[in-house]
Amino acid sequence: MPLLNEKGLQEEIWRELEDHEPIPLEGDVIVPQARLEEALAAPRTGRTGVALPNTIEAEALQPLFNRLSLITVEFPGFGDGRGFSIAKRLRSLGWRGELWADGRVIADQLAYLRAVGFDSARIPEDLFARQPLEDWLTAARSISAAYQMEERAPGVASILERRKAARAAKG
Amino acid sequence: MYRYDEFDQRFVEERVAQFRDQARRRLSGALTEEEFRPLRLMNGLYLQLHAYMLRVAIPYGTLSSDQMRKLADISERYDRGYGHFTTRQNIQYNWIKLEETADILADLASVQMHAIQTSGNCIRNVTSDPFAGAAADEFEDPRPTGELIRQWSSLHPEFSFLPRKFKIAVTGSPNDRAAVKAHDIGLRMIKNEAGDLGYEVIVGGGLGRTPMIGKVIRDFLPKAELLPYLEAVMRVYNLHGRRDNKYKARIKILVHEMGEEPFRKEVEREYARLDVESLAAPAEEVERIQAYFAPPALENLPEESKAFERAKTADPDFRIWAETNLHPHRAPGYTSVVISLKPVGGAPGDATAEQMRVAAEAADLWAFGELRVTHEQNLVLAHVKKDDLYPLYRKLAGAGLDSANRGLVTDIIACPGLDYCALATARSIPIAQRLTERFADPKRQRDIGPLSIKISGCINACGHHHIGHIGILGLDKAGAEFYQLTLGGDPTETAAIGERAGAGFSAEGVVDAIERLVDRYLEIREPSETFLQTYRRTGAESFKDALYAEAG
Amino acid sequence: MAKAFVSSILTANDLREGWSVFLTRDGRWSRDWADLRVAASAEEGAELSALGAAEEAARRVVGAYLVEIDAEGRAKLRRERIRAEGPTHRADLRRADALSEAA
Repeated sequence: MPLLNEKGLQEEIWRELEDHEPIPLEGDVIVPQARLEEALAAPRTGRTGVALPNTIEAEALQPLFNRLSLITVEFPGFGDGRGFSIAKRLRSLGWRGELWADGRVIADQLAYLRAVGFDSARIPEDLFARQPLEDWLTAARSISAAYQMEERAPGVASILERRKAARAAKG
Repeated sequence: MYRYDEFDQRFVEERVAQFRDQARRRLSGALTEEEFRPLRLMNGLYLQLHAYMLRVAIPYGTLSSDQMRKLADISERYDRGYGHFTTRQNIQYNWIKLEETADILADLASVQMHAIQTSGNCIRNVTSDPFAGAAADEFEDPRPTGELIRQWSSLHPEFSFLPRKFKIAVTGSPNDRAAVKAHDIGLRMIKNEAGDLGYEVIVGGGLGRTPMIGKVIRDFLPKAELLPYLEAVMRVYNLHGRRDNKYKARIKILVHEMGEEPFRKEVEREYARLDVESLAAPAEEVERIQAYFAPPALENLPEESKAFERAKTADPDFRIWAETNLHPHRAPGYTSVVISLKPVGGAPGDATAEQMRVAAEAADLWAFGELRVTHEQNLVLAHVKKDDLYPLYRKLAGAGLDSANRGLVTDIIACPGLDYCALATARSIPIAQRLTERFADPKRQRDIGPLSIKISGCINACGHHHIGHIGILGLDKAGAEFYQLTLGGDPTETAAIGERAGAGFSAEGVVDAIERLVDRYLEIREPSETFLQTYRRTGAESFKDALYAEAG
Repeated sequence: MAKAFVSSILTANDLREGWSVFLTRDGRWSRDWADLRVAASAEEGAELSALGAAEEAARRVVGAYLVEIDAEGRAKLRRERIRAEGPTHRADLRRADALSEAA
């Protein structure tokens, strides 16, 4: 499934664990939350990522942050915005690793996803067929400055900071 | 009033270009209707019964005469020469083409307007007191708060895909003219014992299928902490609001199901996690916004105007209009003027392009070029010299804008109903037309006194029927329109949800039924008692008797 | 027992213009309620629905659905009559072919 952000398509190095597949000891693997304990207990050499549903209490994961390299948050549909708040929480709890939005998000949400702390979106093939990369790149660039102070996507300026600078320039 | 700086201007222009691209992608097939729908809604574009409908934001109900003229131009150029002012202080156009919408948005941007977040499951246009900055009883202008929230909530990355729509209202007066207790969040500006300004925060009010009065979850929130606290409330709602049933997705249901106290604790817990300082609006930004709302240069005038008194004696129609349509201003010799959009036989809140232009011109001549839209679907000129009232009145009268009925039985609130709305179950406007015809006699209206009738054409309650003194809810019963009545509703600081009166009435019968209610009130009222006061004193029974005795 | 099929026509909104439109006998979308293709049986109804879905997929219209009609060929539901004939509160907003007060 295509993984992308405003810089373009990202390389797919992570593999998602199949149902009932034993935890592999090598390679970078995304495991469902239910099997996270099992994966972390295994003597693995590869990196571990976890796929979270969007009903998770982010705090529960905090003690495991230093043993994880990737967190994905499920978006069952683009209208279900819980993932945005979960990303905010994860980042404010100190998660510094990779964070993906996983599911049926649309091009017009990419800037919002980036602003709340996601690094990339992983979307289904059928969606990507209809909304090619160009749509995502255009949509991500469409608003160049935002009113919010904390939540801004890379490359999006702060209107408040610009105002401040303009005031300073005027003296 | 607020004026865009270059950054605000660029923001709305980019938003127009963004929408133009979204519409292009819809037409090319890159976006399905299901995907496009929330995007167009977040730019105020609905698909209604007849055509697309565009809802344009009028933030906290304040606009300039130039903006009003642009609204008139748009109605002629892209629509059918009229617009509909709504209970959320917005304007709607009913006959819009998708192909032309981006051009309309560009026209709006040229006068510092937009349609951002006038629909969709996001934070909607902030509403407020139409007499803000002018009313004698106000102690703080609520509009700078409204503007601060407008900017903060515009295209908010985290809160644009909420469980459901989210409405915020602000009042700066102890007399609530913004129905703050019927909003998802209501903010009442208050002073604490130390004399510091802040907000009483009310959460979980709303109408619709499950009407509820909001609960106070913070007695006093210091003014500077507003945005971080809103963020905490919004995050709790975004994470925990129900998404399994759209009719249970509003925050009022969350507050109700969690319980007031657990909800408050959850918000406070979230709030404690936040870096309040970094989320709070910078003081210089607050001051910058505040400065735009400085009162206009008012003259020192005597309280009494000789010209006004003379005109009242000379023209009895003017005297009647002046007795009903003025609102006390804080400055001697000034008043606020309500321009009624409720002529007998008209559609409540509708204004033609010509009427919009006349109102704009009146604002230029006599009211510092500024207008307001009220949640009662009327217009207001906030700062008018009493000396100027008569020429103003004459000008309004020339355009059919002189209805002397503010707050009276014919000052009816009505949603568009089945004449326009895809969700409606019955018509609203024709009921308002029949009622205003029935009660057209000005003397009778004034004898009846303050009485608000509010009509919704379906259970979603856009006509606010639950908080009308008399509420009318239009439903469909086996193919026939029928109307249920609620009694005793109140949108103000003494907010109450009206009680169902009993079995409903046919479209023909409902006007007679309302007349029976009004006649009963006239029979049993004590001297100088309003309908609502009589209802509260006597209870529903005598009114129900009047409704159903003869029908029996 | 399955509900008896009621004769129906196909309506939708024009994707670009938004106006409510109706499918005519010769396969055009028209703003006027005239010479409409009528489905008289469940099979014809299904065919007409499928046509509506195809027209949506072709991005000519949006929100296609069947409207039940009476023996005189008018929509049975008030909602659909208002949709076909225009708002009822102002005579000048009615469509030219509006037959009567919609109620």
